[in-house]
Amino acid sequence: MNVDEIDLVSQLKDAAPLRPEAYEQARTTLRAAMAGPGPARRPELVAVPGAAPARGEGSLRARNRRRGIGALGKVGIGAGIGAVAAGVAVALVATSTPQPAAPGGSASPRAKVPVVNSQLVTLAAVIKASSRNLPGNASLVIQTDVGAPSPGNVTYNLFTDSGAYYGANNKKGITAAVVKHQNLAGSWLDARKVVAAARYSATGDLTTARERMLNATSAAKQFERLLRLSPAARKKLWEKEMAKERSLLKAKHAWPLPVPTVKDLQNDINYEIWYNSINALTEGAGNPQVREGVLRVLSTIPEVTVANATTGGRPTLALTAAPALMGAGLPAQVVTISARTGMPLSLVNGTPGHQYYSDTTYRVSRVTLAGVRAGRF
Amino acid sequence: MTSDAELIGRSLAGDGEAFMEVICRHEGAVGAYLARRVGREAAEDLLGDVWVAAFESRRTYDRSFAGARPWLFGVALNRLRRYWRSRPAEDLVPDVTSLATGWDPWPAVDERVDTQAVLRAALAKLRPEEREVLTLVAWEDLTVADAARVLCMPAGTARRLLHQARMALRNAPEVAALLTDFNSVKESL
Repeated sequence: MNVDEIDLVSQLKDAAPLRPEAYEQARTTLRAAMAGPGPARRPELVAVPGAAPARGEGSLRARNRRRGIGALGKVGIGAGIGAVAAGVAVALVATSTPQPAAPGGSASPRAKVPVVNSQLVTLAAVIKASSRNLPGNASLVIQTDVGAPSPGNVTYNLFTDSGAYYGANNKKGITAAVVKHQNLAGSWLDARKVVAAARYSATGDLTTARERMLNATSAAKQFERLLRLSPAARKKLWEKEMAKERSLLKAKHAWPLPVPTVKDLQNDINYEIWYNSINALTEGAGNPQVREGVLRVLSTIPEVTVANATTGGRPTLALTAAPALMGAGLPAQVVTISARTGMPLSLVNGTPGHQYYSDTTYRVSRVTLAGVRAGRF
Repeated sequence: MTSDAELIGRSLAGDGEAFMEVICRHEGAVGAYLARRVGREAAEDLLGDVWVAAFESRRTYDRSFAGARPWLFGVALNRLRRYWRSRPAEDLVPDVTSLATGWDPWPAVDERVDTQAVLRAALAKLRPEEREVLTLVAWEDLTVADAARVLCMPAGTARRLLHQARMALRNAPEVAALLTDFNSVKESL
């Protein structure tokens, strides 16, 4: 067989291989970014007993904070543990004796929760009063990274009222995605669930609303189950689970985590509710009922504070999720919304120049699918 | 084995480890892709940016394609273009002989160095899009269709560019001489 041009060029293929530590460094960079922008998940660390196996958001996780694991925040353990924890879930149902709810269990979605941010409830009422029929049949959310990690990065997100989702990096791309029927929604994309939970929250009982928001995307009941165990039972179950994960932890250069405290679990629950609510707010922002519901749910989280602000001369509210809520050494997360409509305007993690910093703005509008398909929006 | 497309889908739903698995599958190939184009040192600097860009744009991934490698090469190429744009003009002179700095363990082997220099010079004379298609096929072992995915162009266009690149090389006297040498040596064996 003769040598041809491609064979010749192949001779230039060799290049100095990257060093192993460079690959590790690149993965670390990615993990930092994954923890940063958007209402990003806190790092996932270990399986939590009692979790159901699930895809996507339902992947097992437990977060740890205030336990000296800041650097470990970048270590993740995959969903492969799901089967193990699923087994624990079954065992838990079969063997554990129901215990009285732990003291201070107000984070539990079933416990009656007081409104701690009346300003949010007031705004929710204003939104309700001014709600009219929705124009269009989809919400277009244009997300722009104005700060690190990738300033200038723009994402066009189109959420239809029927539950479809299309994504692209520009106007032309979103039109093409609709024309090609590239609906990315699926069982793994939970926008419909969080949005449905938010809509319920607009008028529903707040305790149930919290529960629905908590469980909209995850196997978060694990936290509630643990919270209801006695300290001794919780410790026993936790240590049993840690023993099972020993080899995996070792492979990840991690170490077994201490038993979570009641406050840890309360924050875990409230963090889930915050995370899902902010997702609902950004994905369903075109619908005033969603905004109203999100504000009502967020009004129940003590670690979320509200401050009056102005953005571009307009009155806004800065909703801050305290670092205590974020956990794992992550900085505070601030969502700025219109003080008149509750529309999300920006989401900032941390502060410029620091790890995990990100700054994202949102522009929300109502459109019709036909209009987007025709490029008229 | 779970496809890359499915893992990306799972990552969109919040399963960060799913995306990490995609990265682990292709990091060697993408690292080499970068190193072939900008050398090891710059490649090591750029790799993390490529992963972040890929993660942030994963919603645009066309999940009708099971394998993500061409898409990742495309993300890497975009990052490379930014890198090249940020370089001083003098660095953009196609000093192709420095592409593999620090790698060739036998720089004293003149014959090989000469061959490589000839080929690199010939590559540098190709139109950028021709060179991209050719190197994706020759270096990254992609099909023409996958190379087209990397470059966001129709497969037919990639085929045409590959053909043009091959013709340009074949018509370059130095390359033609190399081909003659190689094939005559093979025939005499």
